[in-house]
Amino acid sequence: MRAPRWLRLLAALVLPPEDREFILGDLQELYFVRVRRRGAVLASLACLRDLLGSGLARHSQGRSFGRSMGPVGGTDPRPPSSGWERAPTAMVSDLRHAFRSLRRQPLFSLVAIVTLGIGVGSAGAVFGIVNQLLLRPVPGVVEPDRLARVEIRSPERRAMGVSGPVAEELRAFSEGIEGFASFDYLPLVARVEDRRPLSTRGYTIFGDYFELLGVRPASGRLLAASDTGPDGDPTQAVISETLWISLFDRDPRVVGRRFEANGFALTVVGVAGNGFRGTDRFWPVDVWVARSAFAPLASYPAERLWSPESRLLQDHVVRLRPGTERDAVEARFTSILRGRAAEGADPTLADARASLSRGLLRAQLAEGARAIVAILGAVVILVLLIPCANVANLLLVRSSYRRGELAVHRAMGASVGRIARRHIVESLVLAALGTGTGLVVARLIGWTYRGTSLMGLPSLEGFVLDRRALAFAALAVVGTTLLFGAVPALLAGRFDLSASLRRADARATGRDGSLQRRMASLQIALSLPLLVGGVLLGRTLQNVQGVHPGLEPEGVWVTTIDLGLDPPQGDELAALLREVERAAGGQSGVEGAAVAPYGPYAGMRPRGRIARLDAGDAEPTTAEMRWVGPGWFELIGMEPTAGRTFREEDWAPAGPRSVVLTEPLARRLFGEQPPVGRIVHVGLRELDEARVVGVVGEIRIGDLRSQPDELFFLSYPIPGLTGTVTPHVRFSSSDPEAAERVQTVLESALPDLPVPALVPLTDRIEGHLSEQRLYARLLGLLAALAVLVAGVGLYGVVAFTVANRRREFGIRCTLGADRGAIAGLALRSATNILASGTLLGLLSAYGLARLIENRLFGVAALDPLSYLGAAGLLALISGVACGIPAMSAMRLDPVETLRAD
Amino acid sequence: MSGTLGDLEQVVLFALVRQSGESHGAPLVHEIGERTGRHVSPGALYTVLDRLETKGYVESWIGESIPERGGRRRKVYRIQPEGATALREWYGGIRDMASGVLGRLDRLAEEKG
Repeated sequence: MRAPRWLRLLAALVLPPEDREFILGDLQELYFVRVRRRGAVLASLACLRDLLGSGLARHSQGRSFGRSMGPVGGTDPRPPSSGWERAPTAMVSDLRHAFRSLRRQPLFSLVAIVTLGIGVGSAGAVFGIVNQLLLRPVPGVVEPDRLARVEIRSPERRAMGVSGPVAEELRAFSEGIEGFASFDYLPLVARVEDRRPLSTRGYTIFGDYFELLGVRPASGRLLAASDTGPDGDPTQAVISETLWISLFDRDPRVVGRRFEANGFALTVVGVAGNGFRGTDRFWPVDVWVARSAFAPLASYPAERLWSPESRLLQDHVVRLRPGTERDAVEARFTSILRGRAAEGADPTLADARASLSRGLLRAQLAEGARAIVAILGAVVILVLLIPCANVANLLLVRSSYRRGELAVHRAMGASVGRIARRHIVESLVLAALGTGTGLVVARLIGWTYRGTSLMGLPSLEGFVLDRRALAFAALAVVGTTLLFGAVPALLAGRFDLSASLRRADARATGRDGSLQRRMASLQIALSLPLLVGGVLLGRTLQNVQGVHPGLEPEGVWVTTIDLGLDPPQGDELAALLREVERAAGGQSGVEGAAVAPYGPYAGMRPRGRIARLDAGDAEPTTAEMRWVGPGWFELIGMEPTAGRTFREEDWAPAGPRSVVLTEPLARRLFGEQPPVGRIVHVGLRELDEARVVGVVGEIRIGDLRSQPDELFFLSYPIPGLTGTVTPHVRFSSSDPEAAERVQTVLESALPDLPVPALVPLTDRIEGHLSEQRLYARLLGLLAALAVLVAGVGLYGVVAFTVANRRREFGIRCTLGADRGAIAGLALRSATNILASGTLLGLLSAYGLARLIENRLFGVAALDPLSYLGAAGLLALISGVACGIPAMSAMRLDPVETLRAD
Repeated sequence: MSGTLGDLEQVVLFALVRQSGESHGAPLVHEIGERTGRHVSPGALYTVLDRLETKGYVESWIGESIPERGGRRRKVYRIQPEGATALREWYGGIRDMASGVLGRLDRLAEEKG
């Protein structure tokens, strides 16, 4: 157990070096006592207070006990005398002055520090979350920045595979790269001796795969380039630590053990270390074998594997030498590919292009990730700018108050340098305290987002702050405080002294503060987009949650069983499916069971073609197609609106297959004519005749965020179509053991296949909505913070105006102005600020809305209601923020006010 | 005869006495907080202890680490006979001043309250 890291970092800043070890040790001891008693948050706060207090106490003492520490009993310490020792003393005095002046204006200090903290904390946390979810490097890989995926594409941008000889040629090219390896994904069913088989994934690799990635073995050895070529031993396998645990129960002597994968015997030669599970975070793998193992594992003809016609290698990874340009390698690879075509060795490569990704994410995913980073980046910059604008504002207000104080200092002989240094130190202290608060805020935000997942990635567990974002935010904060805190003071130093002194008296003219007003207006303009974005995403989430998917998911559990690379066909498959259905359905607590290749929201959305029989030569309609067994519709709660759903006889129909359409597709195909009984042509590529037996209503089983599916169902099974089967089971009670019982029964019915645990269908729907939820919550939170901060800013401006114009208001009152008129005067500047800020804000809100447009559902990017609502909410909050100082203006006693002057 | 003792100095010396005459920062901070409800930061505590050391009331040395400190060393203080004498004298004076008047003190406090 260790003290929080920030405590140690902050101690390095705050404590004098000779005391640091002892005080930090004490703080750590106290921290643990306090954690046990009051929890981590309060313990952290108490330690922060102790640390700051200790820093002040040790500095203000003017000497440190390090010097008095010589012989036991202590010696008389002498005050520092030489010049270099005085410098820190002056610094200490500046520090004390800074803390004193912050304490003198507690409201200003509190607002400034909290505001800055919100900005810094959100920036650090948001990027921390994104980083953690998306961009953190895959484990086990060394220097991922110099790695790139090589993608070979046709002119139509289609991904192309290459043959072994071509990959060999690319690998032989070494200019600018340190290594090149190809790998090919393979689903595996692994089993050891008489244990249950396990569904897993592997790569066949070709080239110096492990070496170029920098993977180290945890035990045994890894496959070298020489192991992976045509002469390589196909039975050697490297396994991941994950598989070592799940399949081999952490056997310390796993090297040399044999296991079976897809019915082929493999021998473990080593375990990959440091949690390495391949380069693709979205598809972690657990087994690596030589390329030559592809033939036995995938039932592929061995003699074809290395022939130029077998173009199966799609995934390649290279390590670039430091300083190598991507473009040069891309160009070189492209010319190698085309050279191959020119020789006549592989005509398909004539127009191929090689491209290198940045990092290891696949281009398509990287785009998705980039979009998320762009959105959150924009949001964070807004959230950072608003507090900066706010604090700038507060500092400006304060500096105009302090102009008199400054002039007095100057008149008393303080040098410009001395005054400047005081203000710089003060600004830095403010920035440091703000950043410190930011660390706490970041932790709070990170804590709120535990368990969130994004793009189907493993969910967020521990929270890691993004240091670069935090540093950037801290820099922005330091810049702001210096620019608006210290610079006005520096300029003030150059003012004509007597004029400044006079101005100190004549402050009440009310002509000042145009910059403040502009800053407040900027805050409104910046927070409105966040608010609009939050409203749009919140409404999206609400819309998505309110969507009726057209089925009753409660009580339905599913599990997807991988049938392997060589799935049973025809009657064999039908028999297997009936067996699954019977096994799952015959249990107590089970209402019914049905089968389909995969369930709703599984991410699989194949598209097929469908045409009316009388369509003639017209191009068939493309629509999503699904296969489901009889009883599936009833099980999942989908009622036909016309005709019927699938029955027992549809398992193996004598005539044409049966097809069920959704209403939107039925309308598209047949218009207003009744579709039931009509013959259509359906299929993936080849079209077969089928009879429409029924229609179901509007459903959404692929994606809740889309229009009702245009979809047709075919009766299952269709031979050769799918490698998975998903039993759907409806339970009559919520007995968690019932699901386990069904799994056990399925396992004994399918002894050679891995059966994953059943999951509720509602969980799949939840997972499907996680990204939406993350956006809505994140933007909602940030918008709330931004509006709060903007409200505070506006309050500051109006309060400043009122304070500045007390004298004027007093005179007006004396001359008979009524109180409403006075409040109106106080509010006039606020109204202008609000109006101009809102106008600008609505424009920038549209910009942000365009950025998130394709993440909206059921609400337009330019939805007037959302914009009006956001602007109205902002106006309301601004009204409250302005109302308080305006009320105080109304209550001014003219006599008191004038007497005070 | 010893010099005067400040308010916090007395509290710190008593805290040392309570901990068998020898202790380091964290337990002292804890002890003082628990008994007096008064919060002292470690830095402020060391400042007081430094002052006591220059008066010759305590001695200090750098002690070994304990695991709770994450490997950091401690600065250990021990009360000296001079310190104990000064504390006893001061407390004796206070006790003499207080003897026989505590009842009156309570009444006065209640009247005010």
